[in-house]
Amino acid sequence: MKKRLLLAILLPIPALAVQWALWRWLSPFVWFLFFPTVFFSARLGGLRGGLCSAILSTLLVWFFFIPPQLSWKFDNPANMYSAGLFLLMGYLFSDSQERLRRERDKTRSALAATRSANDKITQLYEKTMELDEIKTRFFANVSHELRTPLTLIISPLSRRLARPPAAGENRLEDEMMLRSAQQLHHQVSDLLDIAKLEAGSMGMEYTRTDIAALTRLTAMQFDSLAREKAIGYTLDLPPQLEVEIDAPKFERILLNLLSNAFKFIPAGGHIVLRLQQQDSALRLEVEDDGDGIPADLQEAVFERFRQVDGGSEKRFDGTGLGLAIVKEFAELHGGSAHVETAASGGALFVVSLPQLAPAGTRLQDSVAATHAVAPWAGATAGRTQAAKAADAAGPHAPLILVVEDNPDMRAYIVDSLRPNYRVTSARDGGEGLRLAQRHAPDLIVSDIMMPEVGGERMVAELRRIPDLADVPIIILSARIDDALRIRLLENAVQDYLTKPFMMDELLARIATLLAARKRFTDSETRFEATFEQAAMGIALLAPDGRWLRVNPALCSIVGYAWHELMELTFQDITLPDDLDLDLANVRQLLSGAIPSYTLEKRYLRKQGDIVWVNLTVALVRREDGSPDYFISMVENIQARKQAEAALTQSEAELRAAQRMAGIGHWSWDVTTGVHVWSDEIYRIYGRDPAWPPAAYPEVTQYFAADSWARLAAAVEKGLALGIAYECDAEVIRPDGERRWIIARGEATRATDGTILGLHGTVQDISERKRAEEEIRRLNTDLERRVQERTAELSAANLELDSFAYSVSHDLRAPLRAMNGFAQALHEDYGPLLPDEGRQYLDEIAGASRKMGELINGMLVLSRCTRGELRHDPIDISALATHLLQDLVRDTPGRQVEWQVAPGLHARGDVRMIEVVLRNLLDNAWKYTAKTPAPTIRMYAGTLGGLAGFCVEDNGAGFRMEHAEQLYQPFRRLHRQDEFPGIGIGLATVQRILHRHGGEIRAEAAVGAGATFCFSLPGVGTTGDAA
Amino acid sequence: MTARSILLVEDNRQDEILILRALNKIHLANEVDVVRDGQQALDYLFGEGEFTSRADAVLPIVVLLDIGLPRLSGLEVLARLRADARCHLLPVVILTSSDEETDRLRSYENGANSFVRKPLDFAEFAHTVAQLGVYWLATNEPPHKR
Repeated sequence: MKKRLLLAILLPIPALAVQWALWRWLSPFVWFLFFPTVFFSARLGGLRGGLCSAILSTLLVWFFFIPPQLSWKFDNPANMYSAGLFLLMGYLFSDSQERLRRERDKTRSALAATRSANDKITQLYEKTMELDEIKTRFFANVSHELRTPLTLIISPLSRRLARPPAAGENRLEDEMMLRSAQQLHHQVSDLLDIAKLEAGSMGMEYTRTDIAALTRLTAMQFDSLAREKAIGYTLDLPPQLEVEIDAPKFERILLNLLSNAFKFIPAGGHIVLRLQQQDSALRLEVEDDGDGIPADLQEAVFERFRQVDGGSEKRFDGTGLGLAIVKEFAELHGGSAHVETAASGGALFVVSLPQLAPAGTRLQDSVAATHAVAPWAGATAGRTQAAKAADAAGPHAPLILVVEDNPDMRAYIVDSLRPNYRVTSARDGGEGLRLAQRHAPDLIVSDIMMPEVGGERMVAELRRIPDLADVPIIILSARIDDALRIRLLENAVQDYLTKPFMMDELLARIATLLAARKRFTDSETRFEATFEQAAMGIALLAPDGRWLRVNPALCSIVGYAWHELMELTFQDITLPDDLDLDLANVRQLLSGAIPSYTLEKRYLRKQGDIVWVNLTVALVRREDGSPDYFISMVENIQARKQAEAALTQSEAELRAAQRMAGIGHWSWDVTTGVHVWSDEIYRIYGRDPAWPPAAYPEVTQYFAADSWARLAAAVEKGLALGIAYECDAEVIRPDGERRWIIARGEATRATDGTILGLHGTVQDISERKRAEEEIRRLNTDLERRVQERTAELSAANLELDSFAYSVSHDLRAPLRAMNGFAQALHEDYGPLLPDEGRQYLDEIAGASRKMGELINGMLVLSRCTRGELRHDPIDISALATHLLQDLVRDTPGRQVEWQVAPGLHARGDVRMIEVVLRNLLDNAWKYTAKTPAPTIRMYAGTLGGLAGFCVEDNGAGFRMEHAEQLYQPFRRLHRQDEFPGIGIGLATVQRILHRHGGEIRAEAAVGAGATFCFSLPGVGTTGDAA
Repeated sequence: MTARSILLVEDNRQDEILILRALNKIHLANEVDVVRDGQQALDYLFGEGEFTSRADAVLPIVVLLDIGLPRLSGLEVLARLRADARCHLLPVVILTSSDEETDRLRSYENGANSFVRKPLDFAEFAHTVAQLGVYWLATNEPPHKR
């Protein structure tokens, strides 16, 4: 608000700025922009803002625009007027805007007030609706919730009251409870009805009904009450009257009217119930000769929660809803209810209802139309047609026999039972007996007072028939005769209901009795099934040992058929060895010393073999304590016994095995200090088996001191930390013999992991130790001999070295001399010699050259076994190619087709491998000399399972049976004149390869060439690995 | 000035004859002195023992030294020569029938200037010796010119 005011006052300033800027064009209209300015200021700031803006504008215009400009002086007095006029106008603007604004505000606030009032009203309305609905729902809920527990209180309570009272039992409180509960039930039902009426959910279900019968039946409920209170109770009804009506509601009307009448009438009074047809209406009257209802209250009694007290004290309880319901229900039918004063001065309640349902109403099927509106009797509608209705319950539903002489009551009961049970009915005790015998019903509901054979006699007769002796019977009687009730309940019947009774209660009691009977029958059936189908043998035996009953499992255990077994006693089939023990137990059982016994014994089967069983026997005594029969449970444990025997056998075998292996086992329970040794341990330690196992410290005497220290440490660790151990120890037996053992142990643990002790084995390893000792000794000896041998070999090697050295020097010199002088002779004196002489000189030179080659070969051979072996990477392909190229160069006359696979690599001493390759290639070259189209191939290949490098030729080859000799020095497979050579090349090759850890193999055939393959370790099968 | 001599240290008479024959064939102007064992070789070079007269004589232009020598082996002779100030630059050619690698390596280690194997074949042998003579006497420039 303040902001708007400030804006209004300051608005002339921007106006001044704009007008000043535009003055050139606006002159001489000095007020030009200030009219709209003041107008807007008035709109914004109301009276105050407008006035201030007008005054400010006047001042500004005066100073800035009225000539002379920028001075307070003025030359034309007319300007005074114009200023005054402007101010006046400013005031008028502001005033009118102010008024306008106030009006607007007023309207707005009025509108807001109206709207909020509206909202509030809507809210209240909604709340009211909601509350109403809540209330209704609450009523309905409460009533439902209350009715269920109430029924649960009422039913058992009335059942209890129906039982004969125990001596000294005070029934007053119970009866009070029942009365209160029933009253509460009544009230709750009333409340529920009202709630339903209020909720508009009370629908009408019209059925075609014999209203006279219904009235008679309902009215009959009050017979006993009338008798009790000594009230004259007269019914004035037509024999039959078919109308269309909502039967439960009519019943309710009637009940409420009668309850009301019986409630307010003093003892000795008189009540008349009339039902008449009057034109098209039905007129129901209940008249009493009580105090009546004052005329001014005759309207009010039909209001809800209204009770009219006849006297000063309030004697009667009630919700005050009963008559309200009467009226409402009558009105639902389109009828009416009112009360007038009877001729006797009492009250006369009149309800009139139309006889027919409103046109177009669908009539309900009379059987489906139901019940339970009346809290008092739970009356069922449409009973006149009930007889024609089919049973609603299935063919396996329990069968109930209803014995009742009153046809209405009979029909009523039958109809009520029919939805859940199969029902048959009888008119009196005699017919009841016949039907019971014919149909064997599951339950009987019977009246007491009946013509000819009464209920009591029928019950007595029934109980004499064995099959019917335990059929549950419920007595319904209007007779309040405690003595009779007690007599019946004590001896023959299961339940007793006094008329008027609640049908709900009767149904509940029937259901309970049937359930109990079913449980009993079920448990009998179950027992039967258990007995007959049990996997275990079960038998009942007489105290003298005769079988009373046996099951198939027992028959199959002992191998007898059922009838065979039944003729025997248990003594007959028990193995004689086991009989005494069994009989001793039986005697103890009979004497009462033990309640039952269990033993393992053997039966002689019919087939003559023996079966082991586990027998458990208990004794059942009669009420007087005398033995009645035994119950025996027989379990076949043949398999277990066999397993035990097998176990014993395998234990024996284990013992034998331990003895043979020299292993014994032991255990030590630290919690009890108990040691267990197997036989073998005694044997190993040389301890007398009759003695107990040796405990600490006695056990120390069996060990050498250092062994014991080791063992004790291991045991301690095993015990403390659960670490399994294994250690050698030397045992000193009492006879002085020493033995070595391996002691093994590990912790024995409880399920929670705590260490309970140790167990383990002792293994006699003396033999092994001795063998080990021997091996060690032999090894030492062997080592020494190896050393000796090595020394010898080293010496020999040295000798060989010096031999080779001297060969290379000392043998060569004379050779060279021979060769040299022969040559010199030839050169210097050749012409002087005859041809023959010169030829001799050539022979000398040739022989010496040959000798030189031999020496060279031997040197190479010896050299390849000496010196360090180097491990160079070798390019086999390159080396072979080089060697072959040399051969080609050195023997220009040969035309050999050769081929070396690329990429062959190996590791080894390159000097030696070169010797290998040279020898192999030289050979190939040499032996193909006489082959047309000779070829030599070098490649990575496999020969006889040996993968490596192969040199293949198509030359002379050799016979495979001579292959062995290939590698022996100076052995040749060809004559000198065929292929010259010294026979040392392959020997050298093999030695070199062996030194490398490799091998060589050859394959050849005479005239078909030869293939030599050699391997070098670290070279893959393909041979081309780097 | 007379040409400097060649010293041949060779215990094998036949080799000596063959070597001398080969050297003669190339008509060397240089005299060839021959000694027959290691000790004699050292005496000759150091001017000691039977060669005291040679005490001030000039050193040979090259020594052809066999390895397998009586008394002192060729390698020992070589080692002694290299240890002596007078002879440590003296060209020494090992001329031997050995083709042992160890001999070759040890020769070089001890300061041999060359290692030549005596070929078995006579023609080859003669040729090799002739080449040696030409090389060391004509081609090679010795360390000391006097």
